[in-house]
Amino acid sequence: MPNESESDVRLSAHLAESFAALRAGDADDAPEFSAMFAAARQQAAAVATVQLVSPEHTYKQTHTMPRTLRSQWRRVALLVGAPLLMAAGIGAVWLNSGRRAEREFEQTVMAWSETSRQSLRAPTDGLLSLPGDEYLRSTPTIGRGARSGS
Amino acid sequence: MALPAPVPFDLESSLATLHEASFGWARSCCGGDADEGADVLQTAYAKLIAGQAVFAGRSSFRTWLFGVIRLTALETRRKRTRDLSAPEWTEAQSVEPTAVVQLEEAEQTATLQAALVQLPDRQREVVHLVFYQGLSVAEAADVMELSVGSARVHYDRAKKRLRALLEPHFREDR
Repeated sequence: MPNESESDVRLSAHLAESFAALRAGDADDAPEFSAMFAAARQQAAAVATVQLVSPEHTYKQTHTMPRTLRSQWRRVALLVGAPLLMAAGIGAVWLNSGRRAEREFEQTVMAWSETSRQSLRAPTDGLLSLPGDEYLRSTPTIGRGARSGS
Repeated sequence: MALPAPVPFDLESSLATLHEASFGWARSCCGGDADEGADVLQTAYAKLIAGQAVFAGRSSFRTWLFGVIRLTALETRRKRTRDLSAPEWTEAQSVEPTAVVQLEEAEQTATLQAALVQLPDRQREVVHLVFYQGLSVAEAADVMELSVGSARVHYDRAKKRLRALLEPHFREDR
């Protein structure tokens, strides 16, 4: 029993006393063992209609309770599976947030470059143009005039 | 490497030795109903005879047997819940009015039973195993297929709850 304070000890003593009384009552109510065991034998025989196994063969200490084993496997699967699922979820969220940030950055750059391209042409730009500018913006070709295009 | 030969094991005499304690445990697993407890215990014995549950020697026989009885009671409970025509499980938990007799011991038992039915299953189980069966909390944890830590938490909560429920009664005693 765990470490207990004085009042806990009193409670424990009271519980022990009450449970002892309960145990005494149960002992009076308990059905006779031999009758119950015989009935259980009949019940087991009725259930095991296909295979009748003698008790000496059945109680070899080589197996364990299947249900216990199942619950242990379930526990192991839960212990391994839960962190993996959690890690996968966190990874998906992290990747998605990274992609979203990249997409937002690209959109901002595109919007900015669009604005800057348009803002390069001011209304007074025409005043700065000089005669013969078109020669500077095009590649001269032999036998073709830049202005005529022929 | 050859496995060690199985230890000869007399199931019948082992069960006979623990019969009364097993009945008490089965009854507790059935919310205090004696008839239901007897049915569960007989079914558990039948399982052992049919080899549906086999003792592996990893714990004490008593701890293992109590585990089998507990699972059998749980199965019975599930079957009852599925079968809507069957009476409700909680009906079995009511304390017999005839139990409250003039004898102080019977009154004490009735008070305890009334308090126990108000506890959640796990808490009731751990308290029964420790105080009625005299198991340690670790052994109770083994029966209940819990970690020792969880069993201890259930044990502490059960005692706290029982203190609140039984305090008026055990204060008078002292």
